[in-house]
Amino acid sequence: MQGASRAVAKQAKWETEMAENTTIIINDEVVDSAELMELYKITAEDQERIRRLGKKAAGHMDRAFDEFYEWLKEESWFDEFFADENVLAHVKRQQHDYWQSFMTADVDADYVQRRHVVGEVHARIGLPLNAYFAAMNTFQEIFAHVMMDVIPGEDHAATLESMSKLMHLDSAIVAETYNRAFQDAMREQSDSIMAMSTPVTEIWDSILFLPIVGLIDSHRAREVMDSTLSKIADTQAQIFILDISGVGVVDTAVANNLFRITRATKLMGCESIISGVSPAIAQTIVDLGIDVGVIRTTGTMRDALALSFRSVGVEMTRTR
Amino acid sequence: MSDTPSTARIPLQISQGCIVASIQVDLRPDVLATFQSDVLHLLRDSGARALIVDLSGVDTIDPEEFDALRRTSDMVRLMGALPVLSGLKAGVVSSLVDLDVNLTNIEATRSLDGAFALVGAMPDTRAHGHGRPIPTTDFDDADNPDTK
Repeated sequence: MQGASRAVAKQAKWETEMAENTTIIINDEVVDSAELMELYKITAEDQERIRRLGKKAAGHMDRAFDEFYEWLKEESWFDEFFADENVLAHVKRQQHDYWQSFMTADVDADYVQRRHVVGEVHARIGLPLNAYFAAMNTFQEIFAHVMMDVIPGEDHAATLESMSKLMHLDSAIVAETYNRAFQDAMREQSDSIMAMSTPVTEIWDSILFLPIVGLIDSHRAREVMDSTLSKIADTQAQIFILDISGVGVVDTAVANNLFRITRATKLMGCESIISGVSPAIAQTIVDLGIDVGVIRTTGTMRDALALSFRSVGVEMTRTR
Repeated sequence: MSDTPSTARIPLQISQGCIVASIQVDLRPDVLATFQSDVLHLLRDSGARALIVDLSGVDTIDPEEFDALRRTSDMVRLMGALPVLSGLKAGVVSSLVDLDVNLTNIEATRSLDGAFALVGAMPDTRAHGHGRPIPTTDFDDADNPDTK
């Protein structure tokens, strides 16, 4: 019983902490809502003005939304994202909640979290970021109209300014989330490409073969070297054929990465042959003045194989 | 110096599995550039095992021209074939030496026969003998997707 009451107390304590908490962890990064407020120069006065606007404009919100959806219907992305009536109704509800929370101007952890979710949802459905910004811009315009009626005079400009500060804060969170989602997707892609791009194969006794397709940056060169060297250790290979016919561009960095791999294999007693040197690649290497040294290179994979067979003492004969 | 608008080409022929280039024209930069790309593409398409440059008809070579030949040779070597200079005249050689031109890492013979003998003495590293046909000279097939 005592344990249960302690748990309840703990829960209550946690809740109050949450309510007062200004920081939140998003994607392993601490986001401090108080810092954000400072960054966008949102003062207590700004918050006060927005709250006042919220109260006074409450009766006009429906009008504002109607105006907004009139605008949205005309935009090219409407059909793609909002054509479904259920979706549209859901979006309208969400938007209603969003602006209600906006008008409280209570920038705390919860507030930041909700903007973060908005960004995540938009990024997931693939709504272009400029559509989001255009929508925010339109809302600002509409609110400026509404404000003409409810907050006249000097306060009008000041309130508008306060509003745009907070809207910038919101937009920044959303844009950051977009950016993050994009980066995550990129990283996932490059990881999966990396994983399938170093298939060192033993094509014959003592002969290893690795075709390289695409770009060789230093990161990839390291992957290639690691998997090659461990394969050499496993198979006791004497020849390593590195086929670069699928490499589009060879520059100094790429060439150096390749030659570093061949030097490394040599230390393990395995000769490297670089095959698939096209006329264009040969021209680039010589024009850049890259010193190839003693590395064996061939124009085709087939020549490299013939060379390897000779080198390991295999003779191929046709039986028919 | 001829003023023909189209670039004069150095003729290439294939003999005993080697590309033989007989230099009969002025080695102007544009001629050398065309020569380079012709040689490399023919090398790729034919699977020839060597490039023999016959210089017996050339009376003067300046350092830039020689350097261009040398760089073409390096490219040929990168593509797995053996570059050989043949028939360099004594006057050409002595002027190149006088001008301190880099002459290392170059295979040279006095005659075409000597060049073929040299190529024959080297182990054949190209696989052209295994069924790949040697096409007739066709320079313009530069972007054949099959061999890219």
